[in-house]
Amino acid sequence: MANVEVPRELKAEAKQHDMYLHPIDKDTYELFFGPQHMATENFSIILKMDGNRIEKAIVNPGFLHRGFEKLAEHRPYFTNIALILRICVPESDVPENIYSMAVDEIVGWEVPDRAIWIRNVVLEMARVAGWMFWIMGFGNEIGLYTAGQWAAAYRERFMRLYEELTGGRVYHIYTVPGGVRRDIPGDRWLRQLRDTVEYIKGKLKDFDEILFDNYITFERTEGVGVMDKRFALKHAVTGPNLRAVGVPYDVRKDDPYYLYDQLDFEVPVLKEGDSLARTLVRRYELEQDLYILEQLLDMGPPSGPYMVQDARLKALPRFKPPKGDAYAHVESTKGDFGAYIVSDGSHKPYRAHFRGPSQSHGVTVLEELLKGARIADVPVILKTLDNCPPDIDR
Amino acid sequence: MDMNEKEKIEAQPAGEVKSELPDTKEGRLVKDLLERAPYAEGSVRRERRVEFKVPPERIHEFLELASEKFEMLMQISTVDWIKEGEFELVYQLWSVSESVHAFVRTRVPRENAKLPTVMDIWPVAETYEREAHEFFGIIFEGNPRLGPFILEPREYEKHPLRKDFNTLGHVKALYGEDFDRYDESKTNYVI
Amino acid sequence: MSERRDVNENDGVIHYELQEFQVFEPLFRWARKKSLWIVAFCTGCGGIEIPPLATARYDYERFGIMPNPSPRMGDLFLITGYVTPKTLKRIIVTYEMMQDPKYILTHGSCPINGGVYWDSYNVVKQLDKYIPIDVSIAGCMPRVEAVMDGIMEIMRKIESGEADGWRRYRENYDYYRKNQDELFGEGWREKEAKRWLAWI
Repeated sequence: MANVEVPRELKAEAKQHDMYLHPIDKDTYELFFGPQHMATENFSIILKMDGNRIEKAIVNPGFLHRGFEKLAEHRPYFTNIALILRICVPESDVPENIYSMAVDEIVGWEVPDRAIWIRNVVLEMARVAGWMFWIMGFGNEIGLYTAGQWAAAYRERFMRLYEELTGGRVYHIYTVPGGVRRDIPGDRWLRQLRDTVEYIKGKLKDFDEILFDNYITFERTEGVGVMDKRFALKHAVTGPNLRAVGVPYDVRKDDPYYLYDQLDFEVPVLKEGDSLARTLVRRYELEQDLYILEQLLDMGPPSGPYMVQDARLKALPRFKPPKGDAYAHVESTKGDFGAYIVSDGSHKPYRAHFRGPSQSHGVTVLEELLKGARIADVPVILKTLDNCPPDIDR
Repeated sequence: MDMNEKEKIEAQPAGEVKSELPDTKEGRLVKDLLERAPYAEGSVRRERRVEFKVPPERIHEFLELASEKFEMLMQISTVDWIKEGEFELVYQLWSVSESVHAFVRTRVPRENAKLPTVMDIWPVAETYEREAHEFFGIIFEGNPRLGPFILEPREYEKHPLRKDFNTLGHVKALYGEDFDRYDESKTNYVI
Repeated sequence: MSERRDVNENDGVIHYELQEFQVFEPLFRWARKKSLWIVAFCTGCGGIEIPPLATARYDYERFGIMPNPSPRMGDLFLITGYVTPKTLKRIIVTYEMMQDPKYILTHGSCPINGGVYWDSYNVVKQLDKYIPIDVSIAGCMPRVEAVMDGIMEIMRKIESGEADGWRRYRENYDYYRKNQDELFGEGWREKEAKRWLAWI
C-alpha cells in the first residue's frame, strides 16, 4: 500500500463523494471486515488501517439480533425452550440447560438423578462437538485444512448420536425444566457413545501432529493477541481465554452443577495469554472432556424417572412457577454462559436475560487486541478468542 | 409517601437479617462488605449466591468497594417493572477468589433513568451499558459510546425491550401483509 | 443497462456478443449447473450445516460446488436462515455485486414467513419481496440431506431454465427497489452502503 500514488484529481473526487476506501492521506484507510467474510460468521469489524497494521478497530455486531429476550416474554415457559436454544448455534444445549436450571431453581424442583445424568452427558457431548467445530474453524483460518476436514467428520459422529437421542442434529429441544424430554434410547446408544469417545481419543494424536504441534500453528499464533491477567479479569473474559492467562476459573469447579463435584478432572491453565496459549488450553480441555465422558459412562445412568413428577405439569401451557428470580450458568466451550430469569408468577417469564461469553471477549477485548495487529492476524485472533456473534446479538 | 413507608418496613427486617447472616464464607463476605457500606442491604440467598440492595445514588461507590472481592462483572441485567414505574438493574458479579455470585440490585425511576457508568471499575461494563441503553433507554453518565449498537436506528429509538413496546404492533406496521401468522379473530391463543 | 434490457427482453439468455452463441445455450446451462460457486456469506443459523456439507460425510464438491470468498465470482447465494434488516442491506449489496446468472437458495422456514421469529421486531418476514429466490427449503433446521435435495433442485431448474431469479430482479427492479426502500427508508444506499463500497 505504501507505494501507491493516488492522483490528486482522484483524491479530490473521492473526498467529494465521501469515499473512504481509497487511501486518503498517507496510508491510512478504512476497511470493512465482514460480515461477508468466512472468518467472521456474521460479524463486522471496521478497521482503521495504516498500511498493513491496524490502528483502530470498531466492532459492529447486530446482524443476528432477533430479540430473543422480548420473544421469551411472549411465550410460555416450556415453549421458550424451542426458542432460546437458538442463541448459541454450535452448542445449542447450553442455553437450554441454563434456562432449565434457572427455572428449576425458581420452582424449587429436585430434578431426578437420571435426568441430571443425561443432562450432564448431553452437555459434555456438546462440549466435545464444540471443540471439534472449533478445531475445524481454527484449522481453516490458519490454512491447515486437513485438520478441519477431520474435525468436521468426527463431529458428525456426535451429531448422529444426538439425532438418535433427541431427534435433532443441531437444535435438540431436549432439556426442559424439570428433566429431559425423552429417555435414553437404550444400551446400544451408550455403547455407541463409548465407542465414539474411544475413537476420538485415538485421534487426538493425529490432531497433535497436524495442528497443535505444528510449526505453522506456532508461527501464526505465538505472541499474537496477548492479554495479561489483570486485563482479562477487568474485561470479564471467561472460559479457555481466561485460563490461558493463568486464572484457573472454571464454572464446573467453582460453581459445580449437575455431577461435576463428583467427577475427577483437571482445569488446564497456561500463563502466556497469547493465541498459542489459548489454542493449547483448548487442546487440553478436549482431552479432559473426553475423560469426563468416560467417567460418566462408567457411572452409568441411575434408574428412575427422567422427568420430575409434578401435577402442575399436566396443564403445561399454563404452567405457572412462583414469583422469584434465579441466575444459572454453565461452562461452555466459549466461556461462562449465564441466564437470569425473573418470574412474576404468570405463565410467561417476566424477563429472561442471557449472558453470552462473547459479550465480554467479543467487543471491548477484541477491539483492544486488534490494535497494532496485522490484517492477517485478524482471523487468528477472532478464532482463538472463539468469538460467537449470536451470543452478542441474541 | 408509600414508597418511604415501604422502605422503612423493609429496613427493619434487613437489620435482623444482618445479625442472622450464616457463618459461612458467603455470610462473612456479606458482613464484611456491609460493615464498610452501611447504606446497603445484604443477604445470603443460598450457597454461592449473595444479594445486595443499594440505592442508585451510591451504586458506583458500592461497586467500587465490591470490586475488591468480586473481580468480574458478568452482566448488567435490566428488568422493567412497569407497574411500579421503575427499572431494576441487577449487576451480576462473580468473585473468582471466593467463588461467589452476587446480585447487586438497584432501582431507578423509568422516566429519564440515569445512572453513573462503572466503566472505570470494569472496562467491560461499556458493552453491557451500551446494551442496557439500547434496549431500555437508560443513560449511563460517562459512557462515551451510547447509541445504536446492535439495533438499527429505527428500532433503537423505540427501546424494544421496554414493556410498553408492542412487538406485534411494530411487526404489523412494518411488514403488513406479509404477516400471515396471527389472526385477530381468534381469541384462544396461548401466547 | 436499460438498452441492454431492451435487446434481450424476449430471448431469456444473457446478452452474448454474437447472436449465434445461442446455439450453445444448452451447453452453457449444463456447465453452469455443474460448477456452482457459493458466495461465502452464510447468514443466520443455517451456516452451521455448511461445514458438514462441505466436508467428508456429505461433501458437496462432487456436485462441482465450492465456497468462494468473492461475490464477483459467485453463482449461488445461500441464505442460510433468518434475515435481519441489518443483514438484508448487506445481502442486497452482495447480491447486486454478483455476476449474472446468479441463483438464490434459502434454508429454513424463517426466510419464507418468519418461522419461529414470526413476531420478532427485527426479522424480515417474507424475503421474496426484497430479493428474488429460486429455491426455498422449509423446516428448521433443514437437514443436510434436505439442503442437498435443494441443491439438486436448483441444478434441475438451471438446466431447464426455470431458475430465472436474476432475470426477474432485472425486469422487476422497480418493484424490489420499492419494497427495499419501504423497509429501510429512502436513500439507504447513498447514506450507508456507499460507506462500505465506495463505488456504489
